[in-house]
Amino acid sequence: MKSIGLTALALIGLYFVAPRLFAADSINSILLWLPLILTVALGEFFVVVARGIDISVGSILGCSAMLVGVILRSNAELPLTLAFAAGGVLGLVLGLVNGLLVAAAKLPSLIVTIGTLASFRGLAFLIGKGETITASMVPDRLMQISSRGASLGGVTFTGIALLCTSLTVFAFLFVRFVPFGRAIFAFGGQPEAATRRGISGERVQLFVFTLSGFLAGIAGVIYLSRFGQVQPGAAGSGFELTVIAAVAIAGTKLTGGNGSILKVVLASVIVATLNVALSILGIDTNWQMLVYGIVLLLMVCGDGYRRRAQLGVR
Amino acid sequence: MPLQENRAVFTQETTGLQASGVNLSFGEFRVLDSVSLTLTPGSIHAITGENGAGKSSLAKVIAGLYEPDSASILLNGEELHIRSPREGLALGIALIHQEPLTFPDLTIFENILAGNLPTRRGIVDWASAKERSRELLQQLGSSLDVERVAGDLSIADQQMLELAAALSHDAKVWIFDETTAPLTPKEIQRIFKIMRELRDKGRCIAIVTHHLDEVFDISDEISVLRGGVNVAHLRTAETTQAEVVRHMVGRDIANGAHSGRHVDGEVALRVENLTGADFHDVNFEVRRGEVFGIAGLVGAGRTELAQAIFGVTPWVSGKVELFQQSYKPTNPGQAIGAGVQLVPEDRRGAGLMLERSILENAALTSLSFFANRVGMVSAERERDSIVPVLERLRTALRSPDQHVGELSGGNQQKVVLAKALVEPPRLIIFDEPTRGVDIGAKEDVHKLIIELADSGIAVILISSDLPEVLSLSDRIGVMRRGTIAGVLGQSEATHDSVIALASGGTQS
Amino acid sequence: MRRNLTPLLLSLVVLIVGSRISPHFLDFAYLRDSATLLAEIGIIAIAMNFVISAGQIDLSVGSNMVLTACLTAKMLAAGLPPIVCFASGLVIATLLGYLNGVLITFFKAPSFLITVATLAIFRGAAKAMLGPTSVKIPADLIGIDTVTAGGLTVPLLILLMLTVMATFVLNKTVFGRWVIAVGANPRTALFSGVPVERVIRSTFLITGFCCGIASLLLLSRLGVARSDLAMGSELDIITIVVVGGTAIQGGSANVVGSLLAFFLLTLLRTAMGVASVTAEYQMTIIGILLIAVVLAKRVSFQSIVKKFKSSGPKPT
Repeated sequence: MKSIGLTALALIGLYFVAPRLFAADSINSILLWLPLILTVALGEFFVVVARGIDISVGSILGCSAMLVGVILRSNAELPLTLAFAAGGVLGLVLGLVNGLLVAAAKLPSLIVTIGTLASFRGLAFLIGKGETITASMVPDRLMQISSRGASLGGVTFTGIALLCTSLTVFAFLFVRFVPFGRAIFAFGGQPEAATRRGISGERVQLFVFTLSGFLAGIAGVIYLSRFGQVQPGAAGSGFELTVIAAVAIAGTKLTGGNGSILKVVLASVIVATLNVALSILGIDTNWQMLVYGIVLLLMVCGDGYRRRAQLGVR
Repeated sequence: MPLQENRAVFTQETTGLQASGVNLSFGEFRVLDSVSLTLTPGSIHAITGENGAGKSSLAKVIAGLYEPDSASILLNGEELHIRSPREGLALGIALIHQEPLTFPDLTIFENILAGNLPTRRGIVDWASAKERSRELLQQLGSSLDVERVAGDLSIADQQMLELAAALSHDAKVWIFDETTAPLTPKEIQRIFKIMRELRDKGRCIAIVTHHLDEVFDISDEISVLRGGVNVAHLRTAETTQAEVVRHMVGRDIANGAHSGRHVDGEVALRVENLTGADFHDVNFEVRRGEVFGIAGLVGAGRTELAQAIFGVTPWVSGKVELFQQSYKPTNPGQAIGAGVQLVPEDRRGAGLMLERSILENAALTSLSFFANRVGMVSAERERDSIVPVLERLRTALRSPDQHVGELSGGNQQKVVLAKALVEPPRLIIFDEPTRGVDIGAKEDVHKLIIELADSGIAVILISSDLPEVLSLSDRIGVMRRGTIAGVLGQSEATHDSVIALASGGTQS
Repeated sequence: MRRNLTPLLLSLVVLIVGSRISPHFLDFAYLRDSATLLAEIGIIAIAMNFVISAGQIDLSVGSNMVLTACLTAKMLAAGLPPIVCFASGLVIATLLGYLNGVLITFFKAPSFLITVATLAIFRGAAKAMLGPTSVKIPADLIGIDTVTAGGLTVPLLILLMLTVMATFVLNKTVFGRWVIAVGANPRTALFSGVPVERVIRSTFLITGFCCGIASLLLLSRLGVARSDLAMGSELDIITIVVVGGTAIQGGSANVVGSLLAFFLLTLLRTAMGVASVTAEYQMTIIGILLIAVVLAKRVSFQSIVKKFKSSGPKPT
């Protein structure tokens, strides 16, 4: 919580540097970024709680955006629910591949997802035969759910925001009230104890990676809706960094077993705000990676520092 | 067919658990060879044997942690095929492990009910979860606050959580696998009370242990395993410790009395008012050629004291002199450099690299000893120095290049001992040197300790095995709650006087 | 020999397939020049053996190399004497590597998290500094990759030299044994008097230094520094180490295996280039190779110790 407090303080500081950040149009840009970041961060959150890491999410997002783009290019009348379903199913299948390699083959998730990060990026090229999806190929209906919606004081609550909100509520309820949601936390806290209590570690791992893939798949469609274009090499590339930063800022225990969905939401807001703030402050996008890196490093070191302090007390 | 005999003697019923023809092997190594075991409702069945006899493996097969090559397991006459602890629990078979494990970030009630949360239409019912776990703890006579985070509970409390978890599954078959090892005598009695209550409710109880005192304290019947086969099935009331030991070892064992050594060497180690995170105001000294025993309950701060002297953790105040020289190591490397060695309690976790060779393991502490000035290790010198040490310890091995993980517990311990002896130390600390070691190897370790002391090395012996401390030590420092409560000379040290000091004077 | 079987056999397969695709494939000079293009990656992979066998990982190596190359190029472009620039480049890279080690040991944080962060920071700093522009270096410093001695190019000679040195250090010296011990069981290493944290920092220092060497070679080969060079090179590097037979969880090292795996990667990349497979698909295939090799190792390992694994660590 401390990390969130500090970052929130920094944001208030930003208000004095860039009051424009809190104007309606800035908030709208934040709300454009938020669903994309939050949707993927939710999946990553579960993976991290279960003692894993999924760095292939950006590539999965790219594959899904590409697939849905290709489908809509040749079939503009496709219902949007089916478009989301297609993206979600592809993500689910790719996540299942990660999950099987981690859960059944017992490979370290970092190595697996470094491998699939590369492989799935190639798949994005394969799906679109290397071509780029441009705005003219994406039906307006899809683009509009990112731009239109209920408006309040100039702040627009879009269809995408609604979708993301419901996913978050589901995740929250799942973690709070579903036995299997609790099992993920138990497994992350102490895998062997979980096995003794009859919780299947394989199921947990399979589930979290599949979920992470599914959510990245949904995020692919959100990406298509928001940007209206997909370059197979660029879509979602490097996104894992943004998402891991969000999960870390949320104070999620990076060694597994603890964390909160609410804090992931807050942290995603912070990251989205940071994105917008950088552009409002006129900071070159070339600086973004540096900023994310520093934020992530601070969080990782803070996590470690707290652990050190605990060890010292003992 | 011993199985048939057993049944004839003890029970004709089909209730309870009957395991027969249990075969288990790891690679080419046969762990269990058509072993059988019958657990009768309302009876506590001790499974005992030396280390490596296969008793824990048998327990794990029954609970579904190990998959046997073949086995027939009947519960109330029905054939079971248990492939995971999950399936075991579902059938009412619970295994209570030696080392309890908790979920540090979860509350106590969630710890108890993890994997078994009460639900209403698929939704966790938190109110009844709290209620239920409170009830379960109450049944066990524990008053832990169920809403607190499990974080840093004592081992005994963690054990309560495991018991409560098994209770929540309403287990019909309870297998206690060396559960008492990390507990204090008082805590052990509490567990025994629970076991008796479970027995009186008609549960099947098995207790895996090599502590014969406990076997005779709690059990109704005894199965002895040796080398992975059944060697005896006895009624506790009709047998003696000596008979059980004979079955365990296959021969008679004479319990070595104290040697009555005379020590008058110079002071090797002097500890004054030493205070650290888990111990305080510790004072004692050890002479050359002396075996200084440190007794006390688990959690009294013995291991922490030893690790501070070895430089693993820092101390806050006080001073230590090693051969009249001020000594304050900031890491084990410095301690080793000063001629101090520690044989750690946690053999696998802190003593060995299981997937490396015996030679590499044994050489690790003294690599610079085999190296030239630029840090190049001479393979010849290494082998020539280490092989004799391993031989002196009578380590049973195929080749020094074999992985340590393939050795039995006793032989693994000998490799850890070899590490400490390649360069002869001036002071050596043994922390639980014979825990989990079979009787043969135990005798070897005892002989070694006396030999080392006779050669003029100062020895500190930390052990929870009271007869061991009593028979080997020249003086015994008894620790209680982080400090040395008293030092007993050879003539004053008895089972009762040590226990009295260790537990605070309440001699029972 | 047996433990180097994987890269050898795979190399053989690629050689046969490659030679069917193109007759030039088996030409020594052609293969040599292809290998030279990847030598920087190979050099870092050799050094990465130290980090990985000590049970750690360094994902920031590619970014380190690029940042160092950019800084060195800036200094060269500013007209500083080349020898000063090169020396500073080596020092910078070494310090960046060491920084990882310091952060990991001081904060007791998992190495992959620290180095994911520094991956972004190093690359981000290069981007922030250069943006989309590139920095040219003086023409007379270009082309070390074309200088040959004894039939091999300088980058390859350096790679071979480092392989010999790393093999020696890891197998024959006290430090090497310490590295392995730290990877095999850090607590045992500590209790055996191994200066665990110093060893970990040293492995990152070594890797940083080799990133420095690689960055200078890269700079001289390309003649220009950009912030987007060597993107995703950590995939190639980790693949080389893992295919070479060094255990990803630490506690064993096989430097010679890494060299063989480097040749396998060269052959594979060359064969794919000859068959006009695009860069993205090349990456895909290497990603699959990485997973296939760890998978194959795991499967054969599991068949031996299946029961031990499923049961937790404590059969008494």
